[in-house]
Amino acid sequence: MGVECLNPGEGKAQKVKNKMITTRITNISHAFLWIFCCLFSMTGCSLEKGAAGENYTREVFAMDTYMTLTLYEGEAVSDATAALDAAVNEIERLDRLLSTGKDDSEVVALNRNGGGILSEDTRELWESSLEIYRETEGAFDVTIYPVMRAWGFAGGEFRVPEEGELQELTVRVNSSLVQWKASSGKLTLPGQTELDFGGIAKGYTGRKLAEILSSHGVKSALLDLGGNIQLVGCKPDGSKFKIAIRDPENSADAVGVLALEDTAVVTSGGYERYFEEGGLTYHHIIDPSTGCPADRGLSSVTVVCRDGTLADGYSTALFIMGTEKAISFWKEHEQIFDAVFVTEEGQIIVTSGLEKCFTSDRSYRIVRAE
Amino acid sequence: MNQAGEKLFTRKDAGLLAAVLLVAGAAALFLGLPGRAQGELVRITVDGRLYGEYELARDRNIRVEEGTHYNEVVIRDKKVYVTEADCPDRYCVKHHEITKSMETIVCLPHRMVVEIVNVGATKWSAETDGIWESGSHGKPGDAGKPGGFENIDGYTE
Repeated sequence: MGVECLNPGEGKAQKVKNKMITTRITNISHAFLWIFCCLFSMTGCSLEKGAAGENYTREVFAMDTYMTLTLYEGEAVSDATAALDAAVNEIERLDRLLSTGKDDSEVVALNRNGGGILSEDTRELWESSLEIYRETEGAFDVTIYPVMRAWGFAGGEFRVPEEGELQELTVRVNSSLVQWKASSGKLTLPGQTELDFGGIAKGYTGRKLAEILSSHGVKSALLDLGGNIQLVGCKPDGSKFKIAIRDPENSADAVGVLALEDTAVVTSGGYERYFEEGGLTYHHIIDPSTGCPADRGLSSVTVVCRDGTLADGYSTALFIMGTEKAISFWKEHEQIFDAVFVTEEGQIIVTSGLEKCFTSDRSYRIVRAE
Repeated sequence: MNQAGEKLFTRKDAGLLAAVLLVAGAAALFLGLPGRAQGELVRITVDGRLYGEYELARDRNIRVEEGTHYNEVVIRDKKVYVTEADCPDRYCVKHHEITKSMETIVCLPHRMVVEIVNVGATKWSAETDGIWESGSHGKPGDAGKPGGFENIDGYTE
């Protein structure tokens, strides 16, 4: 018995401890005290999220959005807490690195100094951005930042910039003018060109978080980074996560549900961030070629892709491209991602890879590569 | 275990017992257990701290004030919405009214979150997958059912 008590094997030690407490109860008041303690510790547990058989959640304000991280039941409490702590640390680290609103961020320094040697994360983000920029023929461009700022979507106040101002600004929006030496990691921005990884940062963060949680042994998690979803594994019962796609016309409703596992799901739409002026609505997805909110017939684009960075970048680019171009882009990349398009007329178009995952009470069309 | 002659239950014990029960009762009341309201509550947090919990079924206006900022939250006919705020983007005011658990209204500039939670279903229920899985809470077929879909785990938007 004594030897067993010295063993740190948790479950056993706890049982032994309880037994010792029981034998020590020599009068009734102690018994009641003990019962009271048990009662108290039970109520404490029930108020916390994530007791045995429950999910563990953590909410974070970061990257200009509200994030909810949910680990599904099946993890030990201490492991789940450690995993969530590590995830939150990673979010905060990346936010400090990439924020255009924090004076000491790497991105702010790059913009201020006209470039610099990129760190590991910004290097990965820049290389991904450049790849998406080239693939989408400039529909996705991280040098859009000065235009975003002019509209007030990157801090500041909402306003409609004048045409001359936009023309002047869009000339500088061009990732191909940025000098990049992969060997040395040196990036040089041409005069007055500025970067913002806001268009892919959440997707990248989702991917990083999935890696961190997996390394902590988490097998089932749903990470909601402000509507950007990153899934880790499937649900504990083996079923897939059901992710509803918000209806752009009626945000209390959904256009359909995707049953998915181990992937990223990102939606771009003009209905989330916008402002109204002079009876017109201006949303935050700016077309780099015009400097104005993209207006090519789509209300929302949802991209399903294992790589969250690509999902984030593609969803923005496809929204800007418009239905036809977006569908032909998908046909060239059908091995990499799938998508659900909602047009301004309310038409729902689903790419063939999601045929078995998508359910809706509305009519929808499936597009195929051939 | 008690030695002969020692009283099993002394006056001192009775006093202690009464005190313990009193404290336990007060604690249970304070913590809201076991008499905690069941059903759907509107929970308001500011920067992660609980601001207040209110019954969804009871109409009322809540002025959420933090420093010099405010958001006017209204609960009416089991719907929750924000009517006024002094935040710059006013997305919280534009946000649609929320009616079911797992739905939230977020005011990013004020770090305010309004959410509907189903207290009765967050614990003790073997059928519950988790508090964010709205379909398993509330009246069957009621909560978390956008456009006729059940058991939604999350939204992409």
